[in-house]
Amino acid sequence: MSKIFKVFLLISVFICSQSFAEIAVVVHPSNTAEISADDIERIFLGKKKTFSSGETAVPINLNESNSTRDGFNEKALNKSSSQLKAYWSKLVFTGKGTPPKEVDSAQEVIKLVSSNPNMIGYVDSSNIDSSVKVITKFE
Amino acid sequence: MRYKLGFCTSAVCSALYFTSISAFADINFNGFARIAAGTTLESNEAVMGYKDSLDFKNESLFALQASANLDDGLSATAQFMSRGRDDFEVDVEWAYLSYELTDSTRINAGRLRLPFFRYSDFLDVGYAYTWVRPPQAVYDLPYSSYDGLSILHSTTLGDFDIEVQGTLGTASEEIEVEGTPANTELDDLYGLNLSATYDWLYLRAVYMIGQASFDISNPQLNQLLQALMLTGNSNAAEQIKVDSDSSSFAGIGFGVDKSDWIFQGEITQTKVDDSFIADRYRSYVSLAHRFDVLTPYITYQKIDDKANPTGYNLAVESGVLPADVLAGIKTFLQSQEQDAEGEYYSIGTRYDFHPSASFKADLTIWNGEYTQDAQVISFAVDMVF
Repeated sequence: MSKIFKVFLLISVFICSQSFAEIAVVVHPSNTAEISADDIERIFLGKKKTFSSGETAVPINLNESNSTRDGFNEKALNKSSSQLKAYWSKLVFTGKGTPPKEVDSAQEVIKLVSSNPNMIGYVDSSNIDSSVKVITKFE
Repeated sequence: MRYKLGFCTSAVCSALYFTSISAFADINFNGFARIAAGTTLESNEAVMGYKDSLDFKNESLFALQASANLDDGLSATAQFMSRGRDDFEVDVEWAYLSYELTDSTRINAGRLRLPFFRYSDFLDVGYAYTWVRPPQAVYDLPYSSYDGLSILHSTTLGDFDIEVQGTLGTASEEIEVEGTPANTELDDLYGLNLSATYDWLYLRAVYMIGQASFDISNPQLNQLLQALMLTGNSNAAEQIKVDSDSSSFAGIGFGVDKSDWIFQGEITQTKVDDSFIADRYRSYVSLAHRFDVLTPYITYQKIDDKANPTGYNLAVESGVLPADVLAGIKTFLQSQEQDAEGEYYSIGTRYDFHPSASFKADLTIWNGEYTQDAQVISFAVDMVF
């Protein structure tokens, strides 16, 4: 009986984590630049600093304790959290780059992105409202 | 990994005084640390700084980096490092001003890392690489930092990300020559290095030149040089001394990171013309595979140095030197090659047990061509914060 319960629990955890895993990449509504998945990866890895429009791109990251960030790292950046950490430590300790600014919550991402046309962020898609434009979703 | 602190320790504060003058400076603190322990497996073996008793100091270190962002692309950074090897005495290994000329060009001025190798820039940030340490056959050049300028330009070429770095400056280091300390300098250092990255492929080439001078206090060597001078063999002496001698460093490297396989290698050549220093030919290849949090690796390294016999040959030609002096010169020059010659075989693993820390274990076997074989087992915990 307890075994069945455990299995049930596992399955429900699995389903839950799946249903909340949609991540939306957002920009300011006025941002009309073409932004491909490759551009998103390069902007968040600090390899690309402008949008196709020529405007400066400022990525906004969620902080490490936010589970949306792990999903974004894996799906959008194709790196595990520790690979990404190793990647940034190579740049941070050598004066070659600084990781994106971090904020604590999806609400803060929305607030920043909706008020600055240069910013690009990502949030769990349940947080989206009309103040930002969704350019792509990762499931 | 990034913390903004509202306070700083007095040591860091005073050292960063110049940056804290600006009330608007945004100061970031980052750091990394490593606790490593190792020992050779059999008694009387000594290699890579380890002996036959467990040593926790040799490769342990703690570093704190403070960087102040002064806006408009200007920043100041200092890295304070405390190494177990130096009794945890605090040293400044990086201290520089950085200015972004454009989005793709950055100029750094101050104390910087010498970009000899692929991993030079983050040599001590163990968290950034798979091994316990970068392959020592290649990475054991005594110079790691220099004072001067560096210009870094990044661009793209087709699908490749290209980085070009020019360096200019001087370096100095106290090193050990035949068991006695020597103050050494590298002047007029110029270098260019180029790296190209395409998704899973990494390629690198570097060339540096400089003028090397060693102030050696070794009594036997100085006696030998004096004997040469007194017998009219100053030509031979000049071929042994390191006195504003042209030096060069050339290296190439590659890396493949595909489907969780990591295959990489570097080949380097170091020369100090007209000196006792042997030409150094060093290389390694390493293969690793990522299994989620576990990354086992194997590495093969080769040291194939060539002694520089010119000083000895000139001394023989003169015909005036006694046999024992000639033998002394010969032995000394040959030992420059023979003491180093050999191969290292390593097997080890990295284990990412924590989001900001990894544990590593390594067994390295030294197979000396002329020196005693040795085996070293070592463990390390690397952190970034």
